[in-house]
Amino acid sequence: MAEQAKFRRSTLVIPQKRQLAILGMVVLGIIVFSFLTFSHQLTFIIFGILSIFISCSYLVMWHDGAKEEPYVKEPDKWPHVTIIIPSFNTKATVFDCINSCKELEYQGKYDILVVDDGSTDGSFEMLQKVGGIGLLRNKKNMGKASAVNFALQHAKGEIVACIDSDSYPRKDALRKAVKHFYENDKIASVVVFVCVKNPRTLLQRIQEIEYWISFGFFFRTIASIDGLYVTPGPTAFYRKDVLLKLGGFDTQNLTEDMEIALRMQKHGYKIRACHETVVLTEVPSSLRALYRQRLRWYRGGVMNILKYIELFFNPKYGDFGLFILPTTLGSGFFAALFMAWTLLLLSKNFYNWVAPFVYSVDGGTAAAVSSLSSGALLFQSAWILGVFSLAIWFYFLTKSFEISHITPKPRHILPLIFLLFVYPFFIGVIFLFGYAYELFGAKYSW
Amino acid sequence: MASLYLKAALLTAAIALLGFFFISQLDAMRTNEIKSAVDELVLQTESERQMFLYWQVLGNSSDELCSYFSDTTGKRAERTYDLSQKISYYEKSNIMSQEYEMLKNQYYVSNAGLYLNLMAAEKYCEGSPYTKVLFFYRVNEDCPECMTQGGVLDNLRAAYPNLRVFAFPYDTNQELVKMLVKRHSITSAPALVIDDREVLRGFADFGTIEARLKARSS
Repeated sequence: MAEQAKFRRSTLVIPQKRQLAILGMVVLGIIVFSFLTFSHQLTFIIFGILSIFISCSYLVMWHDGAKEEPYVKEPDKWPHVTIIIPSFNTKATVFDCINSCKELEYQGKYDILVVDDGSTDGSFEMLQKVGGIGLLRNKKNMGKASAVNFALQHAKGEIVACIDSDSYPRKDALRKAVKHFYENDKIASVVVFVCVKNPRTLLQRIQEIEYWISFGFFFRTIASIDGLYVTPGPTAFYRKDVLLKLGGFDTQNLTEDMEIALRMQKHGYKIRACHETVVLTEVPSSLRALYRQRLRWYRGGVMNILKYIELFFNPKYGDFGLFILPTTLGSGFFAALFMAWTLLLLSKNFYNWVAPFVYSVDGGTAAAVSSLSSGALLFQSAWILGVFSLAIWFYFLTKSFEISHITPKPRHILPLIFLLFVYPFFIGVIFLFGYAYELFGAKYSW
Repeated sequence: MASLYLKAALLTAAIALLGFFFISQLDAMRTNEIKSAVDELVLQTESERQMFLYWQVLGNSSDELCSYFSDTTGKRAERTYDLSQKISYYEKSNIMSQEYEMLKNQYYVSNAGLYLNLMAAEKYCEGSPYTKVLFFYRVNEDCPECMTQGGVLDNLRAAYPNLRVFAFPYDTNQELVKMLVKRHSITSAPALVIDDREVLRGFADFGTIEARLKARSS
């Protein structure tokens, strides 16, 4: 998270931008068409049924395959694991990260390899004094992906664990995660449950719940049909030979952890999720930092949608291409669509609410009062489907709490309300920004 | 894994069915509310008409009729723009709203009936204490001016208890309403007709209408 990426620009070339523009225009076309053609009730029903279907699919997946943590036999011989920690100006967190890595319990051998990516805050000099780790250095800041690639050349382990310098795996992380590789030899990566470390601000507490839902419930559900589309940066395990065979991480990608997962999927490898252990990670505490983080995620998302567009709706890739990709990576477009439609509708209603006051303040007030007094039942009938959608979402939420071994408490209510009603708009807006930035090829800098 | 999507589709269908059940319940609740209000209005108009017939056929003096009309009709005619607003709000909120055309027409006819009854009372009872205002609004397009006009009329009614407002859409196909529209050559909304004579076109604010009312009473 803390790496510098000044030199990274959008790598999209003109034909890809054309595709992106066409994609955007199709989405915009659908919004305008449905806004002008269908009544808003009908549009809401269509959206509602579609989203209920998607939720139900996840519900069925959960019940058919993800409810139980799968039993995985431990291997006879535990492999050598190399932990790679890329570090750029992270003196605030990297030492804690190294310490938690040193405390890992593992039956086999493991070593820690820290790659300093041209730090300028003196953390390299401080790292030199730390014993029990291997230390490599990029003289110039090249970005996380190339730092990890560099470390791969020196890694001794059969399995490598990439751990962000602001993340702290639990003691049993290696033991629990590594065994998954030996279920079958197509498994190229294992991801673990990423949770928020020590949330303090409201924003962090919102993200805490968000992580439980997405890295907890959804990752486990998606993994049950081999559909993971990202191996989260905080901690992911890889088979080294597969990584090398695929050419390592993409150094030009904004979200190299998503890119590598999509590349693995494309080449028929499998990614497993292990929820028996967790890794705690620092998350942005300010809105500005969160905005930057998500902008990077969504720009990377848009970039990778285009890079792997042939996987979308492609029956060759089964559930992953037909369902998972469109409803996860592609859902940004879906969300943007629904958000734009809602805003159009609200602005139209807003005009109807405000315009009367322009003619006469007193008259407008009286009209507003009388419309409110008859408004007890103004609840639109189609919203009932929205209520059902919400109910399924709450079911997912309870399952997320179960997976996280958390008992819901009153202090979760406020962040939940924000997560439900405010956060989606924030995310939707950032997605649109991410789309626009990629389309116009803006330079990316922190 | 076709069975996954099949299961999901079945589940979706079940949820949608349940959803539509609740939707129909909510729709029916609203329709019933409107229905009972309209029924009450219809009954009112009807009983007045019978009263009038009674007086024409059997009655000897107009006193009986006049006292009834000035008490009851005047009071009950207070329902105005509110109910029509409510009908159009509810119509928009409902999904299954076939009944609304019928209800709306019933409402327009009864409302016009109430207006005509009040006019008749005035004719046979040597004047009436009420000032009658026809208020034409628009239903086929959004009309924020009409909403404001409705609000202004609400305020006026509070200030002038003897004011009776009858609201009609000018763009409806109901014959009786169309006759009223034609009679006053209404071509746009909002428009007001005071006591069947004076026509105010376009949005009229509180002061304008008040001045007209005062000019009439003096």
